[in-house]
Amino acid sequence: MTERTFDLELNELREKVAYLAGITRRVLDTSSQLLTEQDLSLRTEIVRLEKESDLLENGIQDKASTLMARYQPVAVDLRFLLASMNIAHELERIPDQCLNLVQRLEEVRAFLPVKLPAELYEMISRVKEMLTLAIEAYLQKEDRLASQTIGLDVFVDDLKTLVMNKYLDRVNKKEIDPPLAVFFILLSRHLEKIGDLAKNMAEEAYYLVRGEFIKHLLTSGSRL
Amino acid sequence: MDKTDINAVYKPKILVEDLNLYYGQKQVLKSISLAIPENQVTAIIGPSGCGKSTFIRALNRMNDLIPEARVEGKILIDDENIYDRDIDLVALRKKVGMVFQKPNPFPKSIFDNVAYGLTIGHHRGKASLETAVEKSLRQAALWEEIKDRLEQNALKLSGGQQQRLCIARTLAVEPEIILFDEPCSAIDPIATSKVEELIHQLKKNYTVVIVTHNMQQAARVSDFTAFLWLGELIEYDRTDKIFTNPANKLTEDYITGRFG
Amino acid sequence: MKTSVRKSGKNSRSQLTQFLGFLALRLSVYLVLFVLIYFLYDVLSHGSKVISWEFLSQAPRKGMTEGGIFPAIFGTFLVTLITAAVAVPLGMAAAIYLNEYARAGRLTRLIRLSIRNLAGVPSVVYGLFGVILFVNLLKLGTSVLSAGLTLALLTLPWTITASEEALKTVPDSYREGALALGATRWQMIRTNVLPYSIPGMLTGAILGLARAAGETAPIMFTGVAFYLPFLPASLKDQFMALPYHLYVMATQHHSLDRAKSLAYGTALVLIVFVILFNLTAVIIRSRLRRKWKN
Repeated sequence: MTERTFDLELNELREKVAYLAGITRRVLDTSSQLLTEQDLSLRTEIVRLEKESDLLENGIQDKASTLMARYQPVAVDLRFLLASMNIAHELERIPDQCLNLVQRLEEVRAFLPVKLPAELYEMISRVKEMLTLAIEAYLQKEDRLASQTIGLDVFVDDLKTLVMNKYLDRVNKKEIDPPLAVFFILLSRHLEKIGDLAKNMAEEAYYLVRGEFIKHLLTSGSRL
Repeated sequence: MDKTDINAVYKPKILVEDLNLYYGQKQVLKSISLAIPENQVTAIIGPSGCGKSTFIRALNRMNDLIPEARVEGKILIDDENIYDRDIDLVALRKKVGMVFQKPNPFPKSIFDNVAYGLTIGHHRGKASLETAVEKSLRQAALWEEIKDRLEQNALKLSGGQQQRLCIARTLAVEPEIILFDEPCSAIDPIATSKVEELIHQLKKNYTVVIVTHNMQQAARVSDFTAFLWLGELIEYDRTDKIFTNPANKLTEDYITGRFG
Repeated sequence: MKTSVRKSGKNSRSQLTQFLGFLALRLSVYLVLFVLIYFLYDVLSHGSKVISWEFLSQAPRKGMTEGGIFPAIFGTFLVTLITAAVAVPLGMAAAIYLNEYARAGRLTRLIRLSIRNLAGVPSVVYGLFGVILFVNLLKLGTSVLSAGLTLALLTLPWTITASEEALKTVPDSYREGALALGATRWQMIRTNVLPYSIPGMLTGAILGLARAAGETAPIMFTGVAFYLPFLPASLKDQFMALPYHLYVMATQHHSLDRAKSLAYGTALVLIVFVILFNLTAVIIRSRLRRKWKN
């Protein structure tokens, strides 16, 4: 059948979410560059992008609520609007977390340059992967990608625990300056939070495709 | 959800078993089986000509009026097959009331309209008649609007009031099941929301079946939704499920407006 | 783009065609009216001269060259009454059966077709049939009863058809509504169909009777008399009737010249009789319609 006006509108919304995801991704990339190169001049760029993502999210929420009011969508259309709104909300929170990362680096300015532990590098690449997968799951309506994202979150969680235990231990053994240990632990916290956000997005994508909520089924102990 | 699941939770009031209905050579309903639960609202949706009106008219045998209509299969209401030979049509239609697409008040006074079902066949005292009329009009949320002009001709009421009058008229007979055949297709949106509100209220005491081509209406008023397509029952489930996550692609395409 | 809505050359052509078309229609209406008015004028101007109390209340005298036409007025009245008593209930009953009870099928179609055809049968054939059935077979003799029954047969197709049409004007939603409330078929007809169709039925019946009252051929063989100085005392008696009297006065009389003005008078009375009938129909219809509306 010919394309419905509503379909065109939905597609516009989808593109807005994709664009926001692109911005978020750039923030994440810039932040990881900032961490590895320990170049605080990149901060301005991150702040700028964070502001932009706020505005984009507002635009998406606005558009989605208008579409709900005007078309009273049901079934897959309803799920798409709900998922888009929630994903936009999660996406917007990632730059916030990135700003936290920058903040942490500034706090340890006196110690720079610092060599980051391998676990944190691992976490950075994992959350990047999760973000990509979650967005693709939503854009392509692929529940398989969503499950994969949720699976990766387990690694990120484990890495966070690992970093924490390791550096608490080192502080106890006086092998490291406490502020640096705290810095690493906090970084791992923020990265784990980003992973969480990506996981939430994946759950939304899963709902979009399958119409089932899996959020609380998976957090309560059971693992994919 | 299949038939057995619904039966497990809800007591079925109407049980349709392998219903086939023909107009002459043309088969209008194809092997329909479903259980309509008691004290719930069940909506029948589907594109024009899918057989939804025919289906609902099979439930009180209004199709009998069409000479070439032929029925196979069973419709059990409280375990009695209404297509058995020894069924009393008058008793059946008192038990299974019907409200039609276009408000069809009789060109009589408002009072006589509501009292119609009570006065035909047997006589009742004036006092008990008055009580019954008032009760039905109150149930239909019409009493306050018209209590001072019961003797006025019903045709002078607005379309929405006429439809509520027809509902009151049906309620007066004290049916157990009420069938609504697209009750809001000829009235304005405000009147529509009043009728929908009424349907919500009625569910406490009656089993309601409503045919509607307005999917939003089905979503608003019903507990269960059946989707008919070309005379076949495509999907039957809880309304929440149908409107958030239908199991069948056809259902989804229909309710999201991709065809029909 | 803006289109002008002023009259332009392009439109005036189609306006001319329309004007001519309406003109033709109007002229044909005027023609019909002219014939009718001329006819009424002719009858009225000649007939009114002989109308008097004596003309209306006396029997004919002196070989029907003097006196009045009272026996014919009475006879027509009586025979129409008999016709009505038979044709109206029978016609309504038949219509109710056909429209409300009979299943639509080949037989019903055949019955309907026969009724329509009967309406077109020449009245003289009814007259002959009346002789065979009522006068001879049922041994009712040439009498006002035989004539009334024959006229009843003649009007029956009209009353049935008119009644059926009246029943058809009752919306099906009244029927469905009643049945859905648990009415039986007869209760439905009695409470929700007949009250709204009886005006139409009566109108049709009266128009049919008006036609019957003016008929000559069917009563000619079955009961009407050329001349009777007295009124029928029982239903088995012969009678005089306006249309037959007119026929006799206008064509069969031994001195047509002397009878001519009396014939005009008779024609006038007959026309007034028929107009009164039709007027009654209109009044009944509008009365009942008004009552039904409120």
